[in-house]
Amino acid sequence: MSSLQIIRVIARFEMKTLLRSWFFRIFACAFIIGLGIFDIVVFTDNSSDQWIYRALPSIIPYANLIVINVAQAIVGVFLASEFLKQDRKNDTVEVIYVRSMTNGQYVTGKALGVLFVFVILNLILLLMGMGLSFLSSESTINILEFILYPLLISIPTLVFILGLSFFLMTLLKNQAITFIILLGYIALTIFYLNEKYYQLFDFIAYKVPMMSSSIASFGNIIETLLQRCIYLFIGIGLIQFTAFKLQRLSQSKFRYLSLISAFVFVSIGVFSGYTYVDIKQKTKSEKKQMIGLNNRYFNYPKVCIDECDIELEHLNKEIKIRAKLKTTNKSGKAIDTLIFSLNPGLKLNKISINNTEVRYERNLHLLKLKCAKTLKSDASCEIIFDYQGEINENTHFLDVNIDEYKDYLAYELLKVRKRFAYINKDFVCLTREALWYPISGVTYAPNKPAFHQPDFTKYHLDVKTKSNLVAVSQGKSIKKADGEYEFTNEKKLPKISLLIANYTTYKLKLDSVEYSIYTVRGNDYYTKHFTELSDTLPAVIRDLRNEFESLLDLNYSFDRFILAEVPIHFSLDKHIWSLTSNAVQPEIIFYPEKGVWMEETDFESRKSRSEKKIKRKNGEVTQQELQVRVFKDFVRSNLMASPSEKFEYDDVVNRYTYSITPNFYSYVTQLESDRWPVLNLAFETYLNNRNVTEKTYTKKFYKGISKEEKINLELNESNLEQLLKDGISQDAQSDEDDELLTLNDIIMAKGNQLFSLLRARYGDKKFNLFANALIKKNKYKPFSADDFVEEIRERFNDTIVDEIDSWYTATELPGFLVKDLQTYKILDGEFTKYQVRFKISNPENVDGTVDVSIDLKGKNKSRNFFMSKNSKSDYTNKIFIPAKSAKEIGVVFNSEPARMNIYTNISRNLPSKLKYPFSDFDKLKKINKLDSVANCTFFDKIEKENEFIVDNEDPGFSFYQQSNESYLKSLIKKDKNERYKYSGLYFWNPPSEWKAILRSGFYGRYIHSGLYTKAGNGERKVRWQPQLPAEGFYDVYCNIVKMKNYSKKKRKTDYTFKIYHNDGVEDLIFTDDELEEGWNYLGTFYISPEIAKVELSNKSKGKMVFADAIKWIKNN
Amino acid sequence: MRIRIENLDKIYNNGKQALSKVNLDINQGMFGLLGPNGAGKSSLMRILVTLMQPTNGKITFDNFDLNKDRGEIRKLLGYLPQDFRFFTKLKTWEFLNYAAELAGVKEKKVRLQKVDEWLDKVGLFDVRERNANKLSGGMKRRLGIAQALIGEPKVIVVDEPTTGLDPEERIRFRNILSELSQQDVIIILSTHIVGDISSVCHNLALLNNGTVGFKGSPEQLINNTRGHVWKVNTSGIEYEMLKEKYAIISTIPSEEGWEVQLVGDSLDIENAVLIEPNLEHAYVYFMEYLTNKNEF
Repeated sequence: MSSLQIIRVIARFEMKTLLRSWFFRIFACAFIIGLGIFDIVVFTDNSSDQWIYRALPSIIPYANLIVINVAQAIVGVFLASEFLKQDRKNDTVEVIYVRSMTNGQYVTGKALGVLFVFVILNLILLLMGMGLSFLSSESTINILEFILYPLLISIPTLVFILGLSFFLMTLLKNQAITFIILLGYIALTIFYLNEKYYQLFDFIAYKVPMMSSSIASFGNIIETLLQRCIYLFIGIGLIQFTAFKLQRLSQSKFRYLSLISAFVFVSIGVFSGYTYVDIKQKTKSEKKQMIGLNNRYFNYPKVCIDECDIELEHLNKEIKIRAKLKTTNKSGKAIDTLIFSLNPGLKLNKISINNTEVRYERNLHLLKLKCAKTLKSDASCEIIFDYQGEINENTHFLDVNIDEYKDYLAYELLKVRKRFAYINKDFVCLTREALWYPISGVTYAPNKPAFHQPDFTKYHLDVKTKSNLVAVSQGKSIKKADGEYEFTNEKKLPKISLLIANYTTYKLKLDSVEYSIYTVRGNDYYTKHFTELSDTLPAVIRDLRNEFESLLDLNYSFDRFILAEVPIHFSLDKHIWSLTSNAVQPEIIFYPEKGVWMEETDFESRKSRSEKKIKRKNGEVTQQELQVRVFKDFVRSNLMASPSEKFEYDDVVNRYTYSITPNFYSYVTQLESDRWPVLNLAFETYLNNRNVTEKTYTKKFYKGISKEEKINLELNESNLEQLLKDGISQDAQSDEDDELLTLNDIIMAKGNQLFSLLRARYGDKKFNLFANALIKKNKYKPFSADDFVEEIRERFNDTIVDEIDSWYTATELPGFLVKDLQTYKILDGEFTKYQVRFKISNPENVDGTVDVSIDLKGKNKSRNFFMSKNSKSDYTNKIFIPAKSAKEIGVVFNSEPARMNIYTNISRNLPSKLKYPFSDFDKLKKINKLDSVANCTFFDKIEKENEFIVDNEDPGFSFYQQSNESYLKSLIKKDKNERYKYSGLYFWNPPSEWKAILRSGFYGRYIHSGLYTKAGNGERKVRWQPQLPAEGFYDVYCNIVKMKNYSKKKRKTDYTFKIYHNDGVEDLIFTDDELEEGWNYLGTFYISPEIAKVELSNKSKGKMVFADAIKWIKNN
Repeated sequence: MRIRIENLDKIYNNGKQALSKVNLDINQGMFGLLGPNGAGKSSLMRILVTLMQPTNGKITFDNFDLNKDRGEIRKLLGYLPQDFRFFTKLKTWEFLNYAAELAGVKEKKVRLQKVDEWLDKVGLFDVRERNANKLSGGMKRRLGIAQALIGEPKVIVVDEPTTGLDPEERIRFRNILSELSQQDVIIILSTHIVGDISSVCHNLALLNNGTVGFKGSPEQLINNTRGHVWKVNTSGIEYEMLKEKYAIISTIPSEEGWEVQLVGDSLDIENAVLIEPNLEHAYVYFMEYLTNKNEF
């Protein structure tokens, strides 16, 4: 019998016995049922899950296999270790052992038996997934992927885990210990190892990006294969080792063959791993080299490219280009060496300047051309580049923290390798950053952070590709022949991009703008959802355009608007200098495959949801109305996304990812500044936000601190210039925090702050008109910060250089104190009205703004537990409070207000939202109403003269921290360096140490914080020691915040205070019922300054204890 | 076919010597290996079927060396171990089918036919669909013999095959073996039950404490015992004395007390009568009187 036949026989019988094992049957049933439910929930039309789960054919095999892979690895361990155990236990196995076969054949047969059983299970599950996916009207299936995914996900994992189980069983000879060790290993991989070293240790493939696109297949199949080969080959090696160690006399003439092959296979696995890591590290080091080069050459004077004429030929996996550049030396200096950047994957054939071939030096992307004669200031020259090759994607995103950069997108189960550029046989995608055409000067240099000032160039592009493909780029497009396109631009642009694919096109010309959508053939799933739209579409688009133009108060400046489809892998990262992603190009928005990362693209379910909603309210709606609604929702929530939009794919995109704002501003003009490189982005942020009245506030209930608060904490420590240089570490932020702070967030917040202050100072209307005029004046060319400062001086007679400078370089922030909040009724003629008034002061040296919003009673109070997203408030006002000044704000309402929020924006205040619930409008005062913002006497204290308050942020406060955290827990937390002092309120699991939290109700000058800890027996204490002026009688108060969600629990917190006074120490216990929100009177005592002290321990019947502030009021 | 065992030693890791200088020459037909429990029979069997490595010595199956040509030798083997109780989850016929496939019966149709034939032969056809684990002890042994024989092996090694079988099954089992022994095969049968061997073996070896005490035909063994087997009628007190002094083979109650058969070199008892020995007598005589002496 041949070797293969023997293996087959053994495998077949192993399979037979495994299929009869109850353990396996139960497991398989559980999986079929579990995954069936998962599939129904996720893949059917009625599913509330994201569109992405139904849109792409690769999802069913990918998602299903990722879901079961962990579990099948665990079962694999059990079944594999069972084999060796059974071999020892079953005496009948000896009659098998005396049959003629090698140990290698026997063990291989057994392993294959186990493997086949799982393969069958995988196939059943995939077929089920496939079957269930037909329940969705929009499902797509690709058979190839159904074969590929098990090979990539299940097989390597199973082979590895089988090999490892055999190996350990052979060494340890104990199934239980083997099982425990391997379970621990699996858990360690899932919870810790899988993200380390570029997912090197992720044998389960949970974090290995494997999403496949219907346009361009896998993100990076080489990397994926290498990663999977590590485990496949090590697994085979370990199986061979088991054969070598099997308790059966060897039959092979070469007994060490198994051992040698084990060694060879493990070596192949290790080599795959080495190659895999090497590729990843080379990417990093190459990026760093590029950055290094940029740092060396960023100060070199460069020419400005006025015109760029590109002839491109698409040759399968390469492009061949001839680029003719007309350049001018606007640097003000004579130039003898021209610096250009060109993708290092493109091989240069020839460069000529003014028709003379020149010599050049090349180092990665950097290109140095030696001019035959010096190019004087304002002189022009024509340069022709001839080159051909592929694109090296490492030129992209040099401005992110390269060591922390994740090269994949992660959404729930799905991991998608990011791609930046493509030159495939049937798909090309190139953006400026791919450096597919020469760019004058260098790209990102950390020595000049956030500096990004592309030339505004007139581009002309000729494209030749396969006859069935369609090219998309900026400019007027003419199809010269099949596969031949010409793009002519009348306007100067900061960049162009190129897409080539098998596109189908839908076009509509309206009000001098041509709207088109380019969809890869077969992916135009949306057409059937908008069948009734053809007549109304022009009107709908016009409406939307007007809506957005009036919101931005700017005009769309291009003649075309294109939506073009790109693969799901296309990177949506953002640059330090931009609000939007690379998907937003001049005139063109790259939309992800079938709109998966976008909002509202699941048109079918959106439609049925809208319909149901309307019908519930007994409304009637036509198909056309529905379709208009769905279309508008799509445009509004992606292209016109408002800053208050809530996003479903938070991990992947945020609200500005697809915003077309740059087409209104930064692709039209740019505010260039060497001194304050982020000024342009600051201005863009302002423009984007200037007419948005709603305030977003995204703190989740149990989460630590909001993005706004993190920004304030960062800015309290460091200035913008420094932050741009140092960056913000994502790693240092808490693991539990899914809302990571990026540098962009800070730039945006600061930008908004600067221009909002200018607006507040010069008046809304005037400043906005000024800004618009500035943009109009500088259309299709950049303008300098000096121009901007000068224009301000001319228009408003104000010098703002120092102010911008301190905005950029100083750490000073405004701070806000609120006092004398009064609520009462007044009589206005015959009517009773409701007056709200309070004073607010900014004692710091920097101007600031606050946003006040007030809601009336009867508004829907049932807010989302996790998300305090605001609905539109009844009163909102942005109030400018200059440095060292105070205002009194009065608002009169016809009906009773319920609550007020004050958003303190960028300031020293924490939390950045102060909440004031109103309870008392009982008093009727016969005084004049105040319904305005008026100046009032400046104050920089909120306590009265005879009040002495010690807050937990004050020096007089101390705490005794005895942690009784378990050793294991502390080990896990050891390497976690908490970046921010303030944590979330974990009311289900309070910490075993004092932790600071932020709550509006806590007392504080700027920082309303308190400490909390798990209740216990008094092992942890806090102490307040005031600086009292003299001895005497003092009323002692404590500030209490009642946590609503928490105090619903049965175990209510009681507090044990120790009050030190001249007659000794008073132990006072207050139950929850005795205490109310705010200051609570504890008693009056005779106290001398050296004795004064109050202590609170964590002894309480409740679950946790809070410590905030104590107040001593001197009696007269 | 001829199996030669030369100077075979087996010393276990714990230092126990299981076999010492065993020399045997086994030819076609049935070969019995007789000896008490712990004599080294199973060790020898396990070495013969390549389950265990000998410490020293050489074994050849014709020209095949057991140490070098395991693959070839395993092709010749059919083996039924002493313990044959626990199976993986396979039905009776499936187990047999598995054995047949591993033994090299490739063609499915032929194989299935053979499986049925053997099931019928060993009387398991009716329970062919029953899980092998659920068979009774006797059935399991029958299945064991079927799996050993289904590949038509040239060398059949059966270790203590009749342990735990009822008399009827034992007879059936012996019949199968004796039928087989007519063919061109070597059957090595190890047992401590003399009756298993007496009717069917033409050659046998007696093993005690790892050494071969006797090798030859059963007749030779019996001949060697002639003149040493006695029958005595005895009463109670005498019986106790006899028990201490001689190896008693059987004790049958009689009118005067007991009729006792015993072995001994010489007997100084009046009414002792020499009787014709059988294999059982020979075995006991051998074990009791000659184990420490040289071979017969």
